Parts: sequence; C-alpha cells; structure tokens
Amino acid sequence: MKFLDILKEANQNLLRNKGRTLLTILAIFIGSFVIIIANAIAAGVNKYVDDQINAIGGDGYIEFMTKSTYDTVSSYLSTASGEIQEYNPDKNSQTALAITNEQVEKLKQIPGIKTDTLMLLGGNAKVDYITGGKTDKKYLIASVGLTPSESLQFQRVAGKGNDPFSSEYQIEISLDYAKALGYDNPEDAIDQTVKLAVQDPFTKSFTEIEGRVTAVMANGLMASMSPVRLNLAYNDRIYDESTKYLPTDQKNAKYTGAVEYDYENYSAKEIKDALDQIGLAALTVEDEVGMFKTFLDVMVAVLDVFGGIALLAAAIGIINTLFMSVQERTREIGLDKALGMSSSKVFLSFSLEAIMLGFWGSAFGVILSIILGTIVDNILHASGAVLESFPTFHVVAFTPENIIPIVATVMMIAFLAGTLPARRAARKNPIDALRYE
Amino acid sequence: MDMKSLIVTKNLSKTYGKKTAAFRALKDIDLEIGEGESVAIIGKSGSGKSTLMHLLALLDKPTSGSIYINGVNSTKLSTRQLNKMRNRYFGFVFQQFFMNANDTVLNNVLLPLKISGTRRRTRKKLAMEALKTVGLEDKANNKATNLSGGQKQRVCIARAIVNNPKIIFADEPTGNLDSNTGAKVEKLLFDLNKKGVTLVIVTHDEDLAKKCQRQIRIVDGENK
Repeated sequence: MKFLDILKEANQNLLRNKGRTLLTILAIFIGSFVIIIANAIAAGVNKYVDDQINAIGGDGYIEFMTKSTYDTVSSYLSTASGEIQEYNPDKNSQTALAITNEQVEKLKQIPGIKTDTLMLLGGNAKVDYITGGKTDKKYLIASVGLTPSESLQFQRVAGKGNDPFSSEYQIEISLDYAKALGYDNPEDAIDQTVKLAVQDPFTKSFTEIEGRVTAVMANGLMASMSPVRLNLAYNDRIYDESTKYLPTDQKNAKYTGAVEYDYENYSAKEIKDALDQIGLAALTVEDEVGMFKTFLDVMVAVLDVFGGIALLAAAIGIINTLFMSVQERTREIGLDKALGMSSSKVFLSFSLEAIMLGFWGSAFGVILSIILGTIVDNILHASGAVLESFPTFHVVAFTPENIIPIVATVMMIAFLAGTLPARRAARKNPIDALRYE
Repeated sequence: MDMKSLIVTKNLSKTYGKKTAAFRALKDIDLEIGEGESVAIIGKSGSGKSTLMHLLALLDKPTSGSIYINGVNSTKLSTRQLNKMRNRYFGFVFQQFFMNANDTVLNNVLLPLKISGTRRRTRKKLAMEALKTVGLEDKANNKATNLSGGQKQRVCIARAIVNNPKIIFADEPTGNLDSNTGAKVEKLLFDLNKKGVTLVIVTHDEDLAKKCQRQIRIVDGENK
C-alpha cells in the first residue's frame, strides 16, 4: 500500500466518527493553546525588552553595590517569592552596608575603569510631585530615575539630555509628563524650569527645588519605569533634602555606584571579577534585564506545565478514541490483513490517525492564538488603553521558531499515545478479526 | 493426477490449546488440488473444514505438516512473502461478504490493488473490468451498504478476481443468499473456473459440493 493511500485512508477514518474526532481534537487544542499563547507572550515581551535594551546601549556601563547589600536584596527577593531560607548572620544583615572609602580607592586602581565616570549614590531621590511648566498643576511622581552615564541612550524626542556630572540641576521628562505640564510640542519644554517637591516629614511643608529640562524622553518601557530622570547633582540635592534629619554618617553613606570601563579591551567578566575581589557585586545592563527575563521564563514554565497536563489528558483521549476505532474496525483490519496488508502498514495507518489528531489540535491552537492575540493586542493599543503609548510593544509574537517546535512536540505526543492502539490493531490475527461480531 | 498440482499438503495438522485442553482440529491431512480444478471441502459445522481452508489460504499456520503452493513450501516463507502471495495469487469470497459499508462499490473492489500498491489509474480500470464480469459496472459509485445480498456477494467476487488470481477460496459463498440469487453467484464462480481459475469452495451444502469436480470430505478433522 502506498503512503499516500494510507494517509488518505487515515483521514477518511477520522471523518467517519466526526463528533468523537472533534472532541479529541478539542482536548489537544486546549493544551496546545495554553502552551502556544504562553510562549507567544514571552516572545512578545522578550522581543520588546531586547529592542529597548539595544536602543539603550550601555556598553561598558556597570552598576555595583556591596556584596552584603546585594545579598540582602536578593535574599529578600527569593524570600518574597516564597522560598524559606535559614538565617545566615554573615549574609542576611538587614542593614545594607555602605561602600567604604577603601573600596572606592581600590576600585579606582582596577585596570580598565574610567575613574572620571565614577558615580556614588546614597539612594535615589524621593519626590512627591512635579510642578512648573505652563499649567502650574502638580503631578505625582512614583519613581525618579538617573542618567548615570552618557553611554546609556534613552530614546529622546527633543533635547540633548543631561550631563551626568554637571553641577547644574538637570532633568529629563517623558513625553506624557511634558504634555501634562502644558508643552504640546516637546521642543517647547527644552530649557524650561520645572520644580520637584520634597515634603518635610515633621512640618508637612514642601520644599520645591528647580531644575532645567534638558530633554523629553520617548514613551516606552524606560519612560514608564521612571518618567523623570535627574543628573547626579539634582538627585543628590533632593536626596539630601529628604534625608536631612538622618545622622550625618548615614546621610553621607553611599550604597550604590556606577562606572564605565574600557569595554573594547576588557570584558564585563574581568571587571566584575576585579570588583568581586574588593567586595563589590556588579551588574551590567544585560544582568539586570536577565533577572527580569528569568522571572518571565518561570511564568512561562508554569503555564507550560499546565498546558502539559492538559496535553497529557488529551493523550489519554487519543488512546481512548483510537482503541474504540480499532474495536469498531476489527473486521476491516482482518480483511485488509487477509488481502495481504502487512502489520506495519496497519500500524502506520493508526499512527497517522493519531498524528493527524495532534496536528489538527495544535493547528487550531495556533490559529486561535494568533487571532485572539492580535485582537487583544489591538484592544490594548486602542486610544485610551493601557498600551496606547507603547506602539512598538506587541503582547504576543508569533514566529516559526516558537510555533513549529510546539506543533511538532504535540504531534510527537499524539504519535506516542497512538502507538498503543496501533500496536493492538497491527497484532490482530486476520481470522479472529474476520470472525469478530 | 495428470494435471499440475497447485496445492499439496503433507501431514497437515492443527491443534488449538495446550496439554489437557488441546483440541486437534485437523489430523494429518494429505491432499492435492490441481491447477484449474474445482474442489469442494465439505463437512459439518465444527468438522474442521474452515480451519483447513484457512491453512490452505495461508491465513493461519499449521501446528505441524506442510503446504506446498506451486511447489513452494509455504511454512518456509516470511510473513512478507505470505502477504504478497495472498495478495497476488489468491481471491477470497466470504459468507458474510466483509465489505466496507460506507465506501463505494468501486473502492471495495479495488482494495486488493490498493494494498499491493498498484497505480491509481490501473486499479480503477481493473476494478471496472471485474465489476463488468459480475454485471455490476453500473453500481460502481453506489455505496456498498445500499446493495442487496446477492449484489454484495457479486461485488465480493469482483473483489476476489480483480487481482487476476490463480485460485479463489470461497467460504460458504451462498450461505447467506436465497436459492435464486445463490444460483447466480454459483454460476459466476463456475464460469470463472471454466476460464482456468482454480476454485476451492468450503461448504456444508451437498448440492453445491456436487457441482464441483471433486469433494474433500472432512469428518472430525480427518479426510474421509
């Protein structure tokens, strides 16, 4: 029997009991759909993050903190995610340790470090609101960012951006904030003065500190994380204001730092190892993104497990469907074998049925994921919706690389499930099969 | 025997079950069927006649003894060769027809050719010729389930001859038919025999058996 004939026959047999076939396909579809959509979302987010990272640049830029600060932060993160850890007095100090002068001096000696780019921070400034501009309204600021290095290229629609080390107070604001402050044309905001307000915890009065707008940032991931970015001088001024009641040694303590290195002659690993020697933990832009991606990967893995369980149930459905089919077609199998069909061809015929069930189930999963993903993406990008200001961010990304392996795996699972009934069919003795009532 | 022997059996035995539960369905059968002969294997229900036919048609393996087809010892053949032999040289007609009810008459007839991997156009042509022989060419595209019993058996005969076999095995071919349609089916089979096809009919019907050139009588698994 020719392969094409077997394929055609398998297809006809599937159509013989349409209801049963459809239900089996539905079961496979549910599992496939979950896995496909989870991976499409991950691909969509990853692609966007990668694009943003590539746009930022950050070659030769590295951030660092003391190891104890790093350990405190990372053990806080893993405890928050539900992992219970034994207390370790060497690692789990609740107070982050400041960077010492000795460490700073040693850091400056590390070959490849550009000492003139070194920046040390007590912490990010905390701001209550931004005001100024044309409207004089006050707008809440959730998070203030820094422009710690010229190597980081935040996408800007107007202006040149902050000089990180200038003593002048400089600020970059996002396009949305520029509009809110009354600058419909972003160019109009450049060189204007805005005020950031810090509240005194005791008197409840506000201190407003002026800064000059040097750039308007494009909307996107970076702008949404920190809608305003300050240079070091402005950040320190506000940080001092909000920490004025702290004892001097705490106020002046520096917990994090950033520096550039000669990335053409030194690898990030060499610099990190050198910093490690003096008790500093360092992160590159890729490392920070990597942490976010790990989180994303875990989410996808969890969804994949759910999808996998659904597929396992579907595989049992395939076994059941095909066993019923073998039972019903016992006489036919007997006749085929009496007329000279080999056991391997009988096996192939039933296996192909199983594989086709897998194919259609996952194909419908792909089709519905694409349709649904596109619809949801369009809804989220409609005017006034969450993603309106992220035109390049698509919640789902479908590429042959993330679809084909899933479809192939589902077909493989279907084939494996089909081997049990297919083996039973192939082993049938033609005489017994023909006698079967 | 002056004609060439197509099938020869030597000490052919078949036992079902083991030890104390063993049942000897066939005991040391020696027989010869010549090319072009028409032979009836006759016996009562449970006599072992169907078992004998299954062995002769290479659908089952004997417990001991051997079967020579055209001089070839079939017990020495591989499963693949046996499949090929049944597909190329044998035709089967069953009492219960065994047709794929939802398929067309034409597709039922060309099944042996589909299994052998014959080209699409050739198999359609041969199937139409076979249907013409049994007088049902106008039913080619009907569903098999819509046919009468007599027509179904004629379709089965068409299926049995579509591969131009050397020998046709017919197991109670008229068992499910009334005498009128049964007579038509008998005539078809004997016409084929006259054209040179060897015919082996398994039956308990004495009248049908008498129409064959020779009768092999099986009583309790023995050739009497």
